[in-house]
Amino acid sequence: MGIMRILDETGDTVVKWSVDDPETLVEAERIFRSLSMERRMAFARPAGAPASETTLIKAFDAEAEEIVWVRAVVGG
Amino acid sequence: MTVTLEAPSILYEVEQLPDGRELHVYPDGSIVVSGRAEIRPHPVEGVTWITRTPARTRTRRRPRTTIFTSTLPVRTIWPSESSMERVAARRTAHERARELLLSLLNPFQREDYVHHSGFWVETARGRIRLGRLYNLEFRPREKPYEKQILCVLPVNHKTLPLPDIWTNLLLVLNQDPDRFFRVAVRR
Repeated sequence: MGIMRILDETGDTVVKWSVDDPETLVEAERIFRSLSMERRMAFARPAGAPASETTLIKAFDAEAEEIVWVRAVVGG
Repeated sequence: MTVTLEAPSILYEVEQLPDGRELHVYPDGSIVVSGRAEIRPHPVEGVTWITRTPARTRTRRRPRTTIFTSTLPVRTIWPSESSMERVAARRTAHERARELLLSLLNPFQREDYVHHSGFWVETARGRIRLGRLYNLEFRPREKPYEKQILCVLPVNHKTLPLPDIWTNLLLVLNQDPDRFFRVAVRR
């Protein structure tokens, strides 16, 4: 079971998938592609690991325990 | 036996008061005021009002102001249910965001954040402190005593709870610091 956390106004929206459940897997991949097109950035990490153990990913990794989606950064 | 009865003294002074009454002062010091007071005594002694008081000496009625009249309906505005729901939702969002951020911090950063609402992030270029929006303190590695103020934000940051902004910047700083410093605005 993997989860995606998408940062938003509610704190974060969670999307879960399971490698044994193709339906959830397809949906998670679709969301991943959609967010990638919005120029958001995805960081995978083992569940509960600190930021230093995260990895920037460009493609959906079904084996990832947790993916945190953040927004692109700009100068203020 | 001879009894001498002292007759009560009837000698006293009478003084006209300006309002038309009389002041009787008895020899033992007691005073009595008699008569009926005029509503408005004339300022000159011995002269009584003949007509109405002049307009300029009469008290004038203040013009009515609409603010203090009781004709306006007074309504107490309580927070609506929807606004209270929004506040509750924001609080929940903040708690969720804070939980996620704390899970991404190392023990030192976590303690710093809990006590001071900010934490340092080490990068190859130097240390940067996340905790003050629009004012990120940066200490370059080559000049650790020089303080620079940077401003970097997630896109559309106002829709994010504050801890989510720090999560956003923390992850970018950790894994893609070049992107962070490329867009940073120095103040």
